[in-house]
Amino acid sequence: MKRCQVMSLFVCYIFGHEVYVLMIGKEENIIELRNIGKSYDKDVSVIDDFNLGVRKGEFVTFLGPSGCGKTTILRMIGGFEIPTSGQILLNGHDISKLPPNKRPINTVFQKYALFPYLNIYDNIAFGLKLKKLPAKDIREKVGRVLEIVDLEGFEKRRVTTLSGGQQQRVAIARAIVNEPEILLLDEPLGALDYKMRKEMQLELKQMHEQLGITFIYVTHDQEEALTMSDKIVVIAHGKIQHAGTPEEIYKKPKNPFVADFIGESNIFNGFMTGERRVTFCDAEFDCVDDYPVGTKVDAVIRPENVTLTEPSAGKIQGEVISSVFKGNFHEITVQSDNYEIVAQHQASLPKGQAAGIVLRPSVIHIMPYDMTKNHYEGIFDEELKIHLADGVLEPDLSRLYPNSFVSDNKLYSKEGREIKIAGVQMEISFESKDASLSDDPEEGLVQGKIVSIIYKGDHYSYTVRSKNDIDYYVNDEWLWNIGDFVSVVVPEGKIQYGGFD
Amino acid sequence: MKLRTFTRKQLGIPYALFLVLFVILPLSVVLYYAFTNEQGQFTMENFFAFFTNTKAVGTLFYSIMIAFVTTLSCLALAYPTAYILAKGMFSHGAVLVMVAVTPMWINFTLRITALKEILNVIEGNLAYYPFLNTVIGMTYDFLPFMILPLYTSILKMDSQLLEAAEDLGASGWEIFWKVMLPLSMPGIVSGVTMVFLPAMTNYVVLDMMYNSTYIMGSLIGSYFNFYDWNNGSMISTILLLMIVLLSWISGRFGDSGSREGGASL
Repeated sequence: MKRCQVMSLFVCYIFGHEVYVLMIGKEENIIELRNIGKSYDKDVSVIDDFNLGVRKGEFVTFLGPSGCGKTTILRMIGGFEIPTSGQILLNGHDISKLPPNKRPINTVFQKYALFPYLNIYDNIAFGLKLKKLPAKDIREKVGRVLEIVDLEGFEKRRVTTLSGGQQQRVAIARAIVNEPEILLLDEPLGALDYKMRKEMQLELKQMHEQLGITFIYVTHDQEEALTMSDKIVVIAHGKIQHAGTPEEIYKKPKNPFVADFIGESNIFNGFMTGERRVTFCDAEFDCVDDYPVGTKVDAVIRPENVTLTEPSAGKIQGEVISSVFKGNFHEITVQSDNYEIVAQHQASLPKGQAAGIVLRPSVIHIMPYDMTKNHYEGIFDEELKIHLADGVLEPDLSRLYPNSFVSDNKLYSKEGREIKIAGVQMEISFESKDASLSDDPEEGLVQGKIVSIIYKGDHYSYTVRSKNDIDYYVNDEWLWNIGDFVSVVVPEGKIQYGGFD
Repeated sequence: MKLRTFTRKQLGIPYALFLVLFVILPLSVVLYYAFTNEQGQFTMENFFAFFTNTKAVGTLFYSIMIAFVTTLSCLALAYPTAYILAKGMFSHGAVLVMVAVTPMWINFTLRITALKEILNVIEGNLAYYPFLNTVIGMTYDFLPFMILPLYTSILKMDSQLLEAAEDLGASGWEIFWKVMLPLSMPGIVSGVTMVFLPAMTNYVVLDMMYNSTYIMGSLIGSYFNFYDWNNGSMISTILLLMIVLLSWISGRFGDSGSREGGASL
């Protein structure tokens, strides 16, 4: 099955999308999102070129931080939002413009959305009554789903007399009684307490197996996603970061974001120094992934895979700076030079104790570094400028805060209220292809020395290292030399700003 | 706060005085007159006299008709208006709410006189359509009282419930009948209460639109004008009982409608 998917993507790449449609039939994708884009304003896109196929009967979870666009995608599948571009195919038919009442899809809403003026029976029977089913059938079906959600005998109760967990069960019953092809669940357990949530997770999983309906589940809780899903789609900034089984996502995250978001991780910058040899934290390790020598990489190691030993036996030496009891293990943080490594250990260790760290090749997960994008952190000062580690940026505030205006070094909203932004942290990013190099130090955002040049056919890919040891990636068509002191020029319009999560 | 030094009892004194002087005392007087005859003896005669007087019963019926039609037309006009205002279909919703209630700030007699002139121009003579004119006048007068409670109850409506209904297969009309209407029931009930009851007794509109005494208020007035305190008081008492009964019914109805989002002014 997996090879088939790779094949279909490959064929799609070569022949365009007609072939892809043919492949979908074989794939048995019940729902297919193709090049979906969504923007509320002309310039701000929430979802950008989103592609995803969900197989019949799968339990798929959209996982991501709040504001990543996962709920927007769910609402587009449900029909509550219409995509600005792209297609949503249900069993091969385009449904992107159909209203929710014409789709064989039902939703379990975050805040239950039960009708307060109806009793439990009438709430669940709502959809069936609209379909004008005979009263006898309705009674039978409602009885059956009440059994599934374990609420027999609650028919005559009022919604307001039920606990949160019970209301959520009614909401689920109200959706599945319509026998939808797909059940959408929008953070359905978010309002429940920890224990109730754990219970409902298992029950939902059982229900999914029992009903055989395709479940699409939205959550920001990684543990929930790992427990329940057949497939997890990690989403950030409106884009898929990684789609795969919970195991794949946990053990082989595609990029540092996924590694960081799913579970705890140690992530280090490093580079390949030999065949299956990688260097990070000033030490060289054997690993199982292979990339060309010199490739810049991120090395990801899960805390539970970090082994602490005697200092002499470890590849990295350091001292314990914190030890926190976490129930079935102690979380030990070891400092070695500038690096902090988090490990899980069976026993508590005293602060200041020397320790060695051993990493087996199989626990080091290598990801080639993405050199097409630059990401930096900055902070607003009193003069409405963003301070980066290496320089100061004067942002176009009308882009960040639409309709605002500046007067006397203060930012005001359209209504004339002052917007206080001093101290606000920002994420600044730009693509390498939008930046260029200059020998005029005044012209650019930051200055530094060129430390690497890779010829890419029609341009050179440069790495510029500033005096604070921060690397900037720039694609430039002109040839410079290693060691040249240059400044990195980025047009203001090409810089993207993001708030901090 | 200095206010703390007053007890709750002390704070209640001004209103209690007002209540005794202007509510309890006059009501007792009305009740006294209603159940006595000219000689001041207790009697139920006035009560039976009302129901055997065809003109009085006819007036009661006519008043109910006017109030009923006025309430219906207010509801039909106010619901869409309140919906548009609450759903923010215009960018300056707050301003529009103001526009909807501004007529309340203009002197009542002035408003009705203006309306009378306009209708006179359109119809030629107001005497042709007395019932219609009365309903128009009253609708014009009471519309804001219907819009405001509806506006608050639609504003409070959880849009997720409407989405849930659509998700379960409801079409536009079905969403309205099965979800929006039940959810706005508290607003409808308080709007109806605030229009129906005053419309039944308001005689200024009727008096100005068409010189008629076919309404309860004017009937009472006519008895008092001839110094017949007893019968006038009885009619007032009967009306009072009807209003109490109606509020009780509508209050119960509002309760069972929805526990959430009970709207009132």
